[in-house]
Amino acid sequence: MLLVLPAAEVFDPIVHGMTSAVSTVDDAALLDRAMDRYARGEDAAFEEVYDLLAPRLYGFLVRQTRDRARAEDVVQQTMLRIHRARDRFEPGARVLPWAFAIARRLLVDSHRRGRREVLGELDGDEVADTLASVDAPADDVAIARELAAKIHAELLRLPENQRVAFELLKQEGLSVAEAAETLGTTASAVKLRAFRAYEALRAALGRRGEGERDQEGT
Amino acid sequence: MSDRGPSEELRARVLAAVRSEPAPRAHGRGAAAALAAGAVVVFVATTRPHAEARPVSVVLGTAGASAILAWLLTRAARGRMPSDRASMLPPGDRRAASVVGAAVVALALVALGASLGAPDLAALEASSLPLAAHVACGALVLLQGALPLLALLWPGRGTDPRSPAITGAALGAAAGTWAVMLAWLRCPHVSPAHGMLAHAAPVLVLSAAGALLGARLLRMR
Repeated sequence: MLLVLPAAEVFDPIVHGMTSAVSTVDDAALLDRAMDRYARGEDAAFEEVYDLLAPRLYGFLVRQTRDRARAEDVVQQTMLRIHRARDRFEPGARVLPWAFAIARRLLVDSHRRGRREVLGELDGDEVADTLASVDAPADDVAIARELAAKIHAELLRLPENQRVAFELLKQEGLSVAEAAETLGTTASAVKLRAFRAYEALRAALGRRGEGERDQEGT
Repeated sequence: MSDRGPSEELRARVLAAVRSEPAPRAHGRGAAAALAAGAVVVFVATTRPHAEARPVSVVLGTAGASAILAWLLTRAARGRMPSDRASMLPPGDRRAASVVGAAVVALALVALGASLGAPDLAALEASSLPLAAHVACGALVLLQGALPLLALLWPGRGTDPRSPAITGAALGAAAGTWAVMLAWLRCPHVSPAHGMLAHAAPVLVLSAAGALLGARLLRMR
């Protein structure tokens, strides 16, 4: 098969489209307000916090672990820790960076306790389902489906700090400032890591594309 | 592998767990305020501001510079620099570590400034100041920094998922700088050696204490 290198308008929707939640500024603002209300004592607001936060955490954790059960386990632990810290929540603070940092810490701790990371294979049908929501021509979707699998594979080869920075920005929809807050580093460091990840992906996909074109030629 | 969303079962499980484990609703800032008030009581009970042989300009200059420094370091250690939005996360490790370094270096410069403000007194003290004077002043800085350290640590207990020890060290340095500010209001000595040993060095001890306490108090459980 001739693999055409993705143009930006194809490549970017694939990368962004893999997110499980609609990443909007509005959602983040709603989440911050819901958490403020919960911290002030409105018990019912926790359901809203859960509904706005859990799908995003879950998407992030599934990409990190490739293990649905483990991702759910960490989501549960993260939500309970947020609940326990309710009285210490800083009014007006952003919830997303804090929640992602907690989830990441819990994931690292579970690695340290000796739980083996399960890196599953990408399920092509589920990727196709996700891509169905991307408004693109049928040919592009077919190419994109294969590219999505390659991108997942290449992401797993990246250094952890580059992969996480890339995923927080491109897939979870966090701003550079929020990703920097989550990772405890500077905005410029996050930009650099994500840029390196992006370049590594482009280079890897380019090499594969050239290899497949050579095979077609012979 | 799907990343489309967690199961309804998980949602039910989490909500049930939250309902069965009521969390406190108070904002928990009362204890921090009480600790800060306690720090003032300790200062008033243990010492009395006086200049003795020091020019008033040296007293005000050293205490004022230390107060500004302490305010800046407290904000930096809590991740609240003027450009920062409110956050549940402390500053990154680099900024937290730089708070400790900045505290020691800046306090050493303040000590140097004090000796330059009263050169005759500094020259006299260079040969006559006993070790006991350094020890007494250093001990008082440690004593007066202890409650501010707890006041800074308490509101953030159990909320730091990243580096609680480093955050605690930065808060220890900030608390120590507040204590040094108080020291300049009542300490009659201006020699650079005294400033380094009895004022700047105890900040490192408070920083170490902050690291130990931070690792226990700030760590997310």
